[in-house]
Amino acid sequence: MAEINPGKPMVIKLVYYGPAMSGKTTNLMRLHDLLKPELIGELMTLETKNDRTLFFDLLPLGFKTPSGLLVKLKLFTVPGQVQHDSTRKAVLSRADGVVFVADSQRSQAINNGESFQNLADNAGRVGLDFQKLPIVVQYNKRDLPDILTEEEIVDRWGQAPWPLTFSVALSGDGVKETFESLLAQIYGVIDEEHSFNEQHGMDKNDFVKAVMGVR
Amino acid sequence: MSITSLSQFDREFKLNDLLSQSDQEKIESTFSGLLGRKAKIWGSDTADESGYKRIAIEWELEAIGFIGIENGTDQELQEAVTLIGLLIKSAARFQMASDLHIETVHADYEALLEKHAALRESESQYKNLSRQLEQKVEEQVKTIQVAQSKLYQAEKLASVGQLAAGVAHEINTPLAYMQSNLDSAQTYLEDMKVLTDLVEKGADQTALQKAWEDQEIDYVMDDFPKLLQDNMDGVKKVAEIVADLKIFSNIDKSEKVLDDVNGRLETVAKMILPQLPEYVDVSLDLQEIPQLACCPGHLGQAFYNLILNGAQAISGAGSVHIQTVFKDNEICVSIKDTGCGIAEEDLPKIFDPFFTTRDVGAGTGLGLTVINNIIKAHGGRIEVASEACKGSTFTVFLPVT
Repeated sequence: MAEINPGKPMVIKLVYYGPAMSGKTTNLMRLHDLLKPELIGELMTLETKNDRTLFFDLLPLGFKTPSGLLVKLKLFTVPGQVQHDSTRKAVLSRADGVVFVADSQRSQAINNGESFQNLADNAGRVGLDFQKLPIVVQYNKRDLPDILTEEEIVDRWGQAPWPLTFSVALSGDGVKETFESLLAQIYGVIDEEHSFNEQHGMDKNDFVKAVMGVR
Repeated sequence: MSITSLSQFDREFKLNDLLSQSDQEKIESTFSGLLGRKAKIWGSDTADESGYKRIAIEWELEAIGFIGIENGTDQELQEAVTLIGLLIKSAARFQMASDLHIETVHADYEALLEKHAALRESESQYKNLSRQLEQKVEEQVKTIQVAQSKLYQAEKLASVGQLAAGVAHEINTPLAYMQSNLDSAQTYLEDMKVLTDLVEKGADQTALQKAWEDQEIDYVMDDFPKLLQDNMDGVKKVAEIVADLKIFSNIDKSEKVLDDVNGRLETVAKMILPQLPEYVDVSLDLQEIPQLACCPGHLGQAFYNLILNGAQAISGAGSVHIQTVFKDNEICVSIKDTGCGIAEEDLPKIFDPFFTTRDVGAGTGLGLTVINNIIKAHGGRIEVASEACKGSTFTVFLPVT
């Protein structure tokens, strides 16, 4: 979990996970456009091949708390293709939260399932407590034909503890909502661990606003 | 090396992580050369330099260092930091990619080590298992060997048993008629006692004459000697059989004595003949051969079995011909039958233990093995020639030393 040390920024690592071509990088591109925090860096795409992520994408965001603490959020994507599992595992290491980007198309149901299982397995391998890890499940590509209906998806995930969101990352629909849902969970964890509100004078609402930027 | 001691690809970079000291110095001298004034780069974690106009070098939302230019203008500083920004961005990309790659490689390596350890573990389990298996196989082999040697002994004794049955029959015939003769002799004695009783009482001639005729004493006097002669013959025959049996005595002794192989063959043939069906003819052609130092009991058994085998191969009329020749310092005993012969593919296997063409239970498959061992123990060998449906010839070669 993110640490707070005197004189150093607090770094929160968030990872966009999911099957190949589900729209993880697109989520980050839209966030880069839509979010207006105090500090926002360039979206850095480390390496791609035919538009497929090979290593990862990285978007840094940040703001200063009233107490003067610099809070940095680093948003990563993993490569979705099956063969890059070692890279995926390394990027997932030390994550504070995960957005699982699923592909809504019916034909991708198996890939979604396998990728989610892979997330659970890799979380275990890199020493993350999957039961406590903040996760949001985002069903992307709602604009495509032949997709699972929301009812079907809710039916499938209703018993799971993770919030569900729906999005069209290309147009930006639902991207902020997904991110906000993850931030709310993250705040819960850091407030519990570091008494964030008490120590740094920000409640959940302040925290989310600071990251999203007020427009 | 554990993964935690590696540089994490997503760590917070300091200026020195992205620009080496020598690169910083090169940049400084480039700017100095271009501007004709001193330029200086330093990290935000080191002491501030004085005497420069400075601007922050930012990476990931934070100032990680400064570039200072002597009397630098805002524009000069802005352009300098843009250029340095490009350099550190490129360096950061490279650094992150290579750190991630190393992290990945190490993770793969660790996973391989784990797999390797698991494989070694399972390998040692398999080795253990194979050791146990070997041990079990060894035990089983021992059990089988014991069973085989028992069977082998049983086969050796089986032929003796067969012989005993034949001999018992041979002895039974004379015994039966000797018994009957003795019964008759007893009756004859009772008949004669009637007469002797009369004589003792002083009976008259007429009474004696009548009793003589009543008791058919003439017949008794005529038959009694014949009957005794019969019994003498019977006893002689039994004595002969017992004498013949002696060739199979000492079957468990392996001391070698000088023996006449021809005589032995004659005896064996004589003993076998009564056990064979009438349609099997046994003939002998025995030429002059020297005496052989041998175990007569064993050799007799081998010949007995060979002749019996030959006879058993015959169905319907046929013959077993036994011939001896002395040639090249070897006694050759050939036993030729007109039986069913041995199939060509079976020929190489007939001396193998447990090989048999007879029905299961009918033969142990050890008969020829026993024979072969006996001949080998005498330094000899057996050759077989056979033609299906025509018969087989077993030739035993015994070296005379």
